Amino acid sequence: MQVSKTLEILISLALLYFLFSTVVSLIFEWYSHKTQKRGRFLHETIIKLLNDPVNKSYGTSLYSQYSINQLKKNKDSYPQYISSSMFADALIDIIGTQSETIHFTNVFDSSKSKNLVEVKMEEKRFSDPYERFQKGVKQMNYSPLKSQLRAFHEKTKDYPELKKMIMDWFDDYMARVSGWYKVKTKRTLFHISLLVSLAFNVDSIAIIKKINSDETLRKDLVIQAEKKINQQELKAIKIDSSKFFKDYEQAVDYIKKNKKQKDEIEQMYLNRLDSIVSEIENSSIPIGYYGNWQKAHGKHFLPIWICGILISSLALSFGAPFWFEVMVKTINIRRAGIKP
Amino acid sequence: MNDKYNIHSHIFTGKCAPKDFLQIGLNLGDGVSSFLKWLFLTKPVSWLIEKLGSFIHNKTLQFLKIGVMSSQGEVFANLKGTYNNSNYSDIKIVALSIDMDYMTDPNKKPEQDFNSQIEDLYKLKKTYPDTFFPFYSVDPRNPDTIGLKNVKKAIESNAFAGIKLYPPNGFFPFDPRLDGLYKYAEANNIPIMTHCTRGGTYFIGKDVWSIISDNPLSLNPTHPIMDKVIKRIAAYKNASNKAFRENAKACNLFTHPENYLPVLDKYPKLKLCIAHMGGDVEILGDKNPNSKHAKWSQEAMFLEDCTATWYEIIKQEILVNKYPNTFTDISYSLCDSSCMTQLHNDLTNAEIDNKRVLFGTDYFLVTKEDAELKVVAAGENHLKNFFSPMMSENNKRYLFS
Repeated sequence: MQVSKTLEILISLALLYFLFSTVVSLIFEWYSHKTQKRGRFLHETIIKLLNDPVNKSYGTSLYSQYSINQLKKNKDSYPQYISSSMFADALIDIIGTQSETIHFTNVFDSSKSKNLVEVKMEEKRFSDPYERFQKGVKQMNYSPLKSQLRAFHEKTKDYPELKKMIMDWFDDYMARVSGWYKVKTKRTLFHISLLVSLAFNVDSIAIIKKINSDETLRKDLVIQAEKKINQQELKAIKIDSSKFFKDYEQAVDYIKKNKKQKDEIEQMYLNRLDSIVSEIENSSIPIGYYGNWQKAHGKHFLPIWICGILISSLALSFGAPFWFEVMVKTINIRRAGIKP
Repeated sequence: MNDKYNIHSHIFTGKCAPKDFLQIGLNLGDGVSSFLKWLFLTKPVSWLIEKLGSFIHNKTLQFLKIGVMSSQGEVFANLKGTYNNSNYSDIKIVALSIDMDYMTDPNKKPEQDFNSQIEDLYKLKKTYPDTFFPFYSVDPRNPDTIGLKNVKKAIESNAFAGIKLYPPNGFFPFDPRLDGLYKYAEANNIPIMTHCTRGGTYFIGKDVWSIISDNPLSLNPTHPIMDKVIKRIAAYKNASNKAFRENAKACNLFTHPENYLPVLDKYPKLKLCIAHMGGDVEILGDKNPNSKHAKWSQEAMFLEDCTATWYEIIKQEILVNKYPNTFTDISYSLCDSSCMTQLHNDLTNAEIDNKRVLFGTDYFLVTKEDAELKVVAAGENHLKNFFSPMMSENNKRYLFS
């Protein structure tokens, strides 16, 4: 086989996988949005970060802290994004609260009847949040978390410095969390890829056979791939789970500004999905359950078809950015090196 | 106008309970029950339970609806809301916390641990100082019990109105680690509420016998009841009926009302409420129309080497002049008309001191039987003129005298 033909097949396949993995990514995004996958994962990881069996589950306390609680869309949901600034403020507040003393006095109408007239509340708290934090840490029993929080206080001079240090700590942790999230989402992505492959009959083996034998289709796909790269649509379509917290920050701003966010976000996903599906339909890629699709593999149709679907599922689960990259690289090799 | 109190309610949520909490009542094993609890707390299922619960008044659904609520504040608001349009709209609520951190194996601990549960109760007290009166739960396995640092802070600030014990979660009331608590409570007239029925929650860890010593330590080791306790443990351990060797029934060893006699003899002025009057199984004994329960009571009585039911023991050995500050409450038992008829007869015949019986419902656990207001109405109908003082004078005396 000629090298240029191999490259053309590879470019065509990369284009195909890129388009379908974009569909997979969009479905995954929609699914994550509906099931609050990110919110729940963020909740789990913060609970883990602030787990302190010796004292209390500070993660739970953080989520019930007023400013964090207000981020919830409804009472059963978890915020999908917590900024490091908000995290730091809330943590300093819940730790500082431990330094507060409160006293209630029951005021009875008479000592005999013991009917309550009122319960008076007297609260004693440090007004300086930096000092409150220090006193709050002091109230904790020794634990690794206490040691960490105490170190934050010892290394800083005032509230802004303390906040900055906690923010950096949270950001570092979130960078690791993004990695864990990526690993966790791989399985879900594979399942969605499998469903997409089955729904569109994306059989890699049949497609390779078709591209290999049909030169017009191959050339056509290569042209489309080149167009796609020229359009540089990556930024608009790219859904990189490693950056999901930052992406969501923009979404949160948008949500705050727009009350109809729920419907609009759903509509946004649908519109994007619609445009990708139209693109696939226009690309004359051999997919779907049309005509004699079962005859593509002869008499051993079923095992080969299953293998084809599984290969596609695996490929699609790599994600759109990966296949875009493959497409760019192979086109560059074709353009630079081997002239047809 | 007299203040009214519901002396016995719970507002903890599913998050405060261990992961395998649903083993209680379902007997499905820890794996399945952990999965079910996770499933119930997932957004779509909890949403479905909440929506269905609003339309269908199935008792289990109502119970689950409260269990899946997102916070203790929401459960409390739900309870207060129930009373809002009733004759008891001004009722004050005593919410009993339960330390569930030790009621199972360490890897199944609740998502919201006990200290965090308490923190939420502090916040609720600040929000509703006039109507909300929480009790602080004490478990001797919690390291704080020895120094009582957190308990004292909670009580002395008046944020918490009393102490809650829940022995079937895995400890004996005469545990020597509780000695300091009883001493402190007696000296300061602090009310203690303790669970006493054959039902309710219990220790759900894998090996219940790992926490029941053949010869348990006692704060009053020479007390005559201790020999009986040792024999009782051996009888349960070697019971021919396998059910008595399993967690649900074996934990009755912790709950037995006689376990309080060594405590009360050491601290006779202790203000102690033995809740539920021993529960329906023990109030009705062999007269229980539920033949299974009647048989259970008789079989247990034989194993426990007792000649009286728990209700009789509470009446004859605990609510006595020797212990001037002992009480019982009608919570949960009030939804059983036979139990209330029995209590009414005993009150009328002065077999039980009417000043020592308190009113409570055991919300939200009682929703498994009926709605809160219906349960209150049932109690009022059966107990007639005894009911109002239970809700007001008796409860006030228990809380504030």
